[in-house]
Amino acid sequence: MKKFLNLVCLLLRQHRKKLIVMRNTVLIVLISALQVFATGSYAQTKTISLAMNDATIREVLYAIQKQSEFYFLYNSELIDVAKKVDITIEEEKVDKILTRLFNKNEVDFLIKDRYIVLTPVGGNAELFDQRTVSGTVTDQSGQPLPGVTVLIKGTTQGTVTNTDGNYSLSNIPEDATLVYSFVGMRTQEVVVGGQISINIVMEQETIGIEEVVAIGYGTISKKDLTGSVSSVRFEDQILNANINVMQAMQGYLPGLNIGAVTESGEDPSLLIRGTTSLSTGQSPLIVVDGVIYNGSISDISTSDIERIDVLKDASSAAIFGSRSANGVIIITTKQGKSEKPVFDFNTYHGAQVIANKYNVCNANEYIKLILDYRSANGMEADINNMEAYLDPLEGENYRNGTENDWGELMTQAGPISQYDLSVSGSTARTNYYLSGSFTDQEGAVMGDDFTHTSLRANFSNDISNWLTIGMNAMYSNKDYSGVALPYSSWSLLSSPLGTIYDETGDLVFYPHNKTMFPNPLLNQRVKDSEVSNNLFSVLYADIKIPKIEGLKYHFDYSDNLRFEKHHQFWGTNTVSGYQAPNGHVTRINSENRSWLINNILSYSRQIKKHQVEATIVYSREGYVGESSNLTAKNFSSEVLEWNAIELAGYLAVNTNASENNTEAFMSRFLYNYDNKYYLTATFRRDGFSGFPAGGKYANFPSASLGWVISEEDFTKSLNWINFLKLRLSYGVNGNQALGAYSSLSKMELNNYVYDKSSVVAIYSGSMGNNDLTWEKTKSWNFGIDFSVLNNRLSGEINVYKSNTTDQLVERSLPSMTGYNNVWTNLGEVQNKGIEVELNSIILSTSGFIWKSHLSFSLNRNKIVHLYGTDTDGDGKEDDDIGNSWFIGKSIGAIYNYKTDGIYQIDDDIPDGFVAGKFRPVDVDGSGELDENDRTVIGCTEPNFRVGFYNEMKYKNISLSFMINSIQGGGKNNYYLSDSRSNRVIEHIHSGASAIKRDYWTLENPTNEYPGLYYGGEKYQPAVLEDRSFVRLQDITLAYGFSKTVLNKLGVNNLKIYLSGKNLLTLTKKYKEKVLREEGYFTNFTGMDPEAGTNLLMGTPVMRTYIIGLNINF
Amino acid sequence: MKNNIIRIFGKLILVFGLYFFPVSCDEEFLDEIPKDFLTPNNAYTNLDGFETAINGLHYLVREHFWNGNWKQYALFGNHTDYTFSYNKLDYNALSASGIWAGFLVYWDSAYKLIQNANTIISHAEMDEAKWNSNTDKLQIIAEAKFFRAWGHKILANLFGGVPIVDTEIISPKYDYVRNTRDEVYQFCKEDLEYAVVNLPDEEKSPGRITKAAANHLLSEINICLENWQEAIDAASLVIDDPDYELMAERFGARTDIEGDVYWDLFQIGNQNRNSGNKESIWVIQEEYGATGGGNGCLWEWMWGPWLTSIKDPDGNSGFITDDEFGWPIAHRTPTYWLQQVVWEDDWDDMRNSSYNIRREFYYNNPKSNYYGQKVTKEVLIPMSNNYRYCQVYYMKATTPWDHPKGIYNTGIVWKDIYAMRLAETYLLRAEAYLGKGDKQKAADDINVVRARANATPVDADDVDIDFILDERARELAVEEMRSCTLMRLGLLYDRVKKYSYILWADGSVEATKENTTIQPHNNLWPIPQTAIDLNSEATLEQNPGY
Repeated sequence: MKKFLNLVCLLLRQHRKKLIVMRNTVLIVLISALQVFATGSYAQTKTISLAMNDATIREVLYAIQKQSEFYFLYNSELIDVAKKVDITIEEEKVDKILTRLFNKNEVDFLIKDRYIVLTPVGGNAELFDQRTVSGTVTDQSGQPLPGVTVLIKGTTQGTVTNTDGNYSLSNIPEDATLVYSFVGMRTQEVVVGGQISINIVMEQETIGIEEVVAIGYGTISKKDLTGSVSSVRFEDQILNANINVMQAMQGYLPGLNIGAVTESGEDPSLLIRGTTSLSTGQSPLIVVDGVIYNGSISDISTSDIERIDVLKDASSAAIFGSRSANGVIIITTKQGKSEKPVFDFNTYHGAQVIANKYNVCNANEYIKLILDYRSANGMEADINNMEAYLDPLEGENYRNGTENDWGELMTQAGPISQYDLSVSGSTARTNYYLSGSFTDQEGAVMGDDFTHTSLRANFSNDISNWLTIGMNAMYSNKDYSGVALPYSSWSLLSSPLGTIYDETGDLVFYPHNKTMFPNPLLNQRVKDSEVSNNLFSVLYADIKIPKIEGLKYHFDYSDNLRFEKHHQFWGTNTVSGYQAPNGHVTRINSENRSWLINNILSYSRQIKKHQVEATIVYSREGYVGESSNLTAKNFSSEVLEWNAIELAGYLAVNTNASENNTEAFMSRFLYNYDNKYYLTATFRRDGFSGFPAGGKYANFPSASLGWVISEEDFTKSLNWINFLKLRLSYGVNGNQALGAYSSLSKMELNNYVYDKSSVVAIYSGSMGNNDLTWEKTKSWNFGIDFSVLNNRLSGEINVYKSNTTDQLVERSLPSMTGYNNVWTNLGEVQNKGIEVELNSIILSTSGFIWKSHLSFSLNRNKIVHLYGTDTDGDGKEDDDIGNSWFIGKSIGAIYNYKTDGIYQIDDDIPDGFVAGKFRPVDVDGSGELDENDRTVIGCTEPNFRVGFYNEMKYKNISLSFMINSIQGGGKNNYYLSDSRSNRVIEHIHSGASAIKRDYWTLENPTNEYPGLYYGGEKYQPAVLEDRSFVRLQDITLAYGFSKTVLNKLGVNNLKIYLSGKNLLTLTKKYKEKVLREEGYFTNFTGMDPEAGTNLLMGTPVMRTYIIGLNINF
Repeated sequence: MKNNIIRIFGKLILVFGLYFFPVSCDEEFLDEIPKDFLTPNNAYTNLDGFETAINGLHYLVREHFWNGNWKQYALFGNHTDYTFSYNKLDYNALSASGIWAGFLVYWDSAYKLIQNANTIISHAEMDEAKWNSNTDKLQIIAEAKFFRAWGHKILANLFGGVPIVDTEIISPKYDYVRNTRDEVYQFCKEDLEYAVVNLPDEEKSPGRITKAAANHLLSEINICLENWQEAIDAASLVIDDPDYELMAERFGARTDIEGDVYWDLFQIGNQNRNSGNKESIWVIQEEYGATGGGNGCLWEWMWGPWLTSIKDPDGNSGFITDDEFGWPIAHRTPTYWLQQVVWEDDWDDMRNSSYNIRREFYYNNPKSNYYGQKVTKEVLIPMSNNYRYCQVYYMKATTPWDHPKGIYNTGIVWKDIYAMRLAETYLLRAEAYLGKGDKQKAADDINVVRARANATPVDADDVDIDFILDERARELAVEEMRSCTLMRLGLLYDRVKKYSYILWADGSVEATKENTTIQPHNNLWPIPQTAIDLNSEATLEQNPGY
């Protein structure tokens, strides 16, 4: 036997890669030989066996209900359930059974999840009684709603709506009240009075307690959840002016922090709960259609997304083990829903402008600035001798009265348009969703262009009653070609007196002879092609294993191929191309591939009140990437640009390649008793190639408990409580975000030259560390889910605490080592916080509904331990000043000199300072300023975040808006940025314009902005600024055409909408009413408080206005 | 029921057992094999590998000490008696972390160089290193030790006693303490004594380190240690070597152009020994357009007057960038002393010829009405900060008529750069003789250098350290790491106080900001605060006064 095993081992080693695939194939065959079948919706998977003779249909239906979770809705007056039948069924799906049970010309049935509605074919109310009320029940989008129960209040008399949403009820007393109820919808009551026709629009309950939530390697009903998962269904968000799906969720989910987007086609930053790691990646793991996705989120078209679930607490995320410490975002794309094919077309058009422009000096202000600068620095400052202080080019323009507004020249109202078309459907065996989407965006900063084309095909087929196969495939093409004008850099501050064009009309290279300020408009001449292509497909098979009820096997293989190219040509008409000389090309091509195989075996079973579900997963993942980067200069001919770089006189090549692999084993056990008591336990073991031998594997366990109090008898009497659940979870998550090869010592490669001969040069690049291992986060989460007051108010509250140990840190080293830093494991960071999510129906009268969604999150982090050393012997663990890490303080602590204003003329001014410069505070009271006066003076992390979403509907009109706010403040000085630094001086000094500000002069002894002194200060204090803001992030007004119009047009749904983004931003100092741009009341000196970019760094956020059309037929 | 469950799990285990079975055989799935980079384990295995590592040292030296950004050029004498900057260094503001800490990067650069030298030295002795001959090995170690000494020397010059790092760092270390300055020099001496024995006489390739380079450096180290005789001996080994002599006749690529031999020394292509130059000892290699040819040096940008901003009497642009002067912007300005005073005793010194120092300029903008006419002081005087327009142009900082085509507007020069030249060896030996008390021998050495420049010989009685520093200025300005020289002598403060003056266009003279703010403690730079802060397990003392 052993010999045999050795032989097999040998064989496997030799053919490892082939075997991975082969093995899975073998397994499929093996399992299929054992006979197996499919997952999908409950009705597609649940099978029933019956053997009944001479039973009434009512008895048969009752038997089916007993065997399953199905629930039949019918009106016994319309359906002849007393009819006797003989039936023998072995493992059949419910639709088959019903087809056999009823004559299809008499009874129509509709399966909606676990509810089955039986209606007579062509059932017509008039046949029955004169005192009849009839009508149509639709959902909010106008779609007919079958299966709605309509009862006369206080009786058992009632009916259900048919497939067209129609109902009819007879024998109605005059004072009757009708009660309309449907799962997942708010129950409505209507007094009949004299009405004979009552049409009802059912509204969704705000809390989708029955909603199915993706939890990783499976789904679960929200009510059964024991962890903390936030979800967004994409319905109305589609109508907002958002290119990236994440932008559409900004501020919506508590604990999911999405950064601002300032460039076309950019992916926003993502952070779930607090910063857990001192230096490794903070980005959550993205999972698309069940598989880990390494591509860019912006590749996925917003309109293709059905829902997004965010796993926030450790026990939920632990299922993804090694990479889950930053949380997990699960994206589920759309599937077909109805037998009838549904076409959906959405388009919008609009424009983008810069939300907040820099306020720079015009020519007159520039002149004044120079004079003030000169007199502050002891130079002659005589306006009559002004030309002497200016560059010759500036002098000419000054004389002629010519001036430029560079900001104006570089920006525009950038057109934006988007088109989405999809068709979807679900037939007996096949479910499909096909879509195409195209976005064309021109940035508010000229040249910041972006187009995105994406195609998607989601397809699944029930091959047999035990096997379903499917494939979700996506192609995405993003084109960022074009070089954005350097709005964000100093170029914007080129002198307003600069010369743009020479006599021949050509752009000049240096508008005022400063090499630091080349003509920003020259970037228009750069030829640029930047395209990325992404192919992502998931192929899966679901197999139901026979004999063992509830045992299923799922296999999926996914591959994500990304090709990127970035080619640039700088001709001799640009500075760089001229200096090259004779043109300059960079040509980067890269290709990378991630593949992933999941094998999931799951078993679920209900035995009386015990519900058990177990899942085992084995998966493997690999990544290979390579790129080549060519640089060429000195072209003998420019006409072929980057396509024939062999024409270049100088060529340099740089190539890169990298590979990493991951292996994971996971198991999960779910148990619940009587839908009251829940237990979830998971265990995952992960291996990652990026760690050194011995540290490659780590284990990640978790457990959680849930208690649905509202199911208990003692709460049943409390009518105002509809649902109440407590949850508690604990788990361990990992972070491997250091990437491949980080534990190895690397050499840098470069070139040197001896006389004219090039040689290769190597030197140390990074220090290796053989002891590297996983960063682990252990966290607790306690949560309450509730729904009260007839489901008018619902929500959840989560409180959490996490400790991240063995921090993977790129620790700075003293430069005496010859290295800058080294990857190491050290220290501990704690995060704790509270998140609140509230959904409420504020108003609901006939015709008018106002719903709101509020999210609040507050997180505090602090460093608990670092190196555990105490070299200064003060009995406390040492801080790491060099890295700005302090025990007991936030990771975002800002350590610097403090200032309490500006030295005024009458102050006692020490050496090295003069009146008008910042006054650093002698914090340690030593009587003089030195390095010891640096302290923690603030924190870059926010105090709390609030998002407030509102949706109002009146008849066909709906208005929705999202207010997003991040607030600082609090005793530890949260959410500050060093955006007010004194760079204004450097600009004037370099002969450039500057941001307008109220600087110190003898006549204006302000404490806000220092005087225009040039020259370093021995101690440069940080001048911090509060980033708090409130922003009207999205607002949409939509009009949906009424059914009568739609019927004439033959469409289901037609909406037109207007939407705006970032229309209004208020910052803390708005009371000073500094109106910078319309709708931007702020004194924030940086570009945008949310983007957090410092003065002159980064582009501002864009404001978008769109008009759109959504049609569905 | 129970049986059922056992049966179910039995099957599960069976299926999964089969499935996971191969995994145990498959450990190499997670092995990590570097794909696009070398590691110390595979880089230092044979002579070729060590040679590329030595190339790495040359690369680091060029990139970190010569081709860096302008803030770094403080090493070459900005804010000393040579030049002041229009940025006006306020020495009060020179601190371990302040805005002027930019040039403290030499601390990091030197230690990075030292670490790489140490890596070569330790790997040369490892079993993985396969050597064909012992000479190869000794030469490699010797060249690495030369750079280790050179790095430590610069650190000790600028910062005083610094931590000696003599082993390869393979794991994090946070407990460095300072050695004394003499200990550092002594360490350099030992390395160089090894190097002079084992280095080759001839360069392996142009730019590589030879015995002569090591002796030159050893001589300077011995001066630092006041081992006068050893300094003299080391310098003599170079001076007496028949392969090395001062260039006395015109030579090289541009003899067809009017000039003199001193001018020839600084023309493109004339620095390497294979050009016939017998004076050069160690040359930093630059080659425009070649892979690894470097990014050029910003000397032109820094040293010349800001021509393009000079207006003609009409107020219009008087200059355009051209191939003769390139694009100087007077980022630094020579002190009055370096422009005038240092030449006053012998104005006809070849090194002060109009080829070598340009003092007159003619409008070259064809659009100007004054095209071809000389720029007069009267035009310059009204201009703001006119010292930047009237300053002399040390032409060795540029390459007239030799700018690569089309790129005379970057301020960058692409010629090779002297790191060591025989003229300096003479001046070092003169310094050693002076230290020893032999003024005559000192004068003799100085006069060898002066004779080549047709300057009048100096009397032995007139030789003192200030004269030697003056002579170094005349011979080595622009090339010399002036800050190192002045700081090793402890004379930065004195010389700045004495010589750092602005010369205005109207001929008036004014003390620079450097002059008015420098204090004696500025004779050493502060140790960078980051190095102190990150050295968390021991205290790295700051220099006094900071």
